[in-house]
Amino acid sequence: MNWLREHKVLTVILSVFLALAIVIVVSYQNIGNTTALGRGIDKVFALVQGPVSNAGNGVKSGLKGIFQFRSILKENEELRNQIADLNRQLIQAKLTDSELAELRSLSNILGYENVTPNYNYVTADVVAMDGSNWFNLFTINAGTDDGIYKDAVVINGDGLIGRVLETGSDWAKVISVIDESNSVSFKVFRDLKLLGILTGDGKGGLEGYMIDPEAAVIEGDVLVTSGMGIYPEGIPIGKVKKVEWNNDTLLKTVTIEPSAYFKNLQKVTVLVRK
Amino acid sequence: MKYRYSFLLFLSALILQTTVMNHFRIFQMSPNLVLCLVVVFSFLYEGYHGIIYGLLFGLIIDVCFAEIIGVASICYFAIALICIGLKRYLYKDSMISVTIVSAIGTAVYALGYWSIYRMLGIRTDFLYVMEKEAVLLIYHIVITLAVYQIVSRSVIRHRGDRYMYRGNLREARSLNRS
Repeated sequence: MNWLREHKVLTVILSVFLALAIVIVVSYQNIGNTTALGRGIDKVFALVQGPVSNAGNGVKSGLKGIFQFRSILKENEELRNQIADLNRQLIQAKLTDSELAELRSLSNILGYENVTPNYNYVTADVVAMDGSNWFNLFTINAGTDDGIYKDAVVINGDGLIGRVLETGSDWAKVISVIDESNSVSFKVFRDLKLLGILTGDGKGGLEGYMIDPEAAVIEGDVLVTSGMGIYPEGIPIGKVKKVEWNNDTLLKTVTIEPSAYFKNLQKVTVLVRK
Repeated sequence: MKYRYSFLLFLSALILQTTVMNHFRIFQMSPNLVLCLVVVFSFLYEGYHGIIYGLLFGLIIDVCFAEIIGVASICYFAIALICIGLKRYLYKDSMISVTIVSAIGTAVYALGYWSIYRMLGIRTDFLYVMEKEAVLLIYHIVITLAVYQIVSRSVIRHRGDRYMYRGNLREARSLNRS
């Protein structure tokens, strides 16, 4: 005790380090389970961050409009062409949609498992990002009031983004698929029989392996979720960048370029079970 | 500086860091403004602004934006202690000193963060982190120097006089306290 009295500063410093170490270990064991205090802090910051983030986005858009006028005109032209293409595809899709509706009703009559989509879509703005530059955790302005729950799947126009890690009444924290320590099951869009499992590679990308070591996966193949686990089937994940044979594990490993760009997310969609 | 003013500064830095700065990334990197403030307040100011607000805002960052609580907080705490320790060896009135302290702060933060995550088994590639931190290092030095230029007038008296505090650190500190 004398030593503690004589070294008060050192004792305080060591105590703080010890307390923080305990906090780290406890929170590691309870990832995704926030206390009421944590949820309160999150709620307050989400309230402030929404308008500030919108203001920042507005300023960025304004500056972009001034300094990149020509490129925006070019982008506009490209987008018009894309809309025309998509409209043509939409007309074709409507035709096949009516056929699909007929098949579904037939399937229900014959007593097969219900094949109608089981998800509602909740669109939310990204109001804050973690700012660590290594990870891609972010906060969105929709929560349990909108039906969002833990592990709900998050997507955007480009493809799979990740899953909800924690929720509050009007906010949710999302972990991106590239930071995911849990595995995601995928299949190759070109040949849906080719299955594999992927995870974050710790370098801002994705890597995985094919379940069948002789699977004919090639560079440029598009990967989609397989429907096993929490992720519904058919969400684009990314493109195969490299295929390698691993002599140690005797597996065919793939390096994947994610289809979504995680550093500039503004709007996302959360899939909520009906 | 009074604690309530430094609190407001830290709070503004946190809100800007997590919102506006994400829209103005350079080389896909956004600066850690709270880290810059921890370095500046620990190195330039007397008192415990850097330590207290480093701990507090580190915890807020962890609660709001991280999977694991306590990592940023412990890193900010260690950086604040290192900066206070460096006061004994470096002159406050030199921009080179501030550059060194800022670089050390950024490196300690990156290594601390990476080590803790590694110990917990969360995989992050070391070279990937170092590559990112190299850009961030320059970013942080520029921001810290900018903040230094703003606050140094109130913190360091007789900035132009390089002989003022030489050999008499205690007197210099008492001057700063007064």
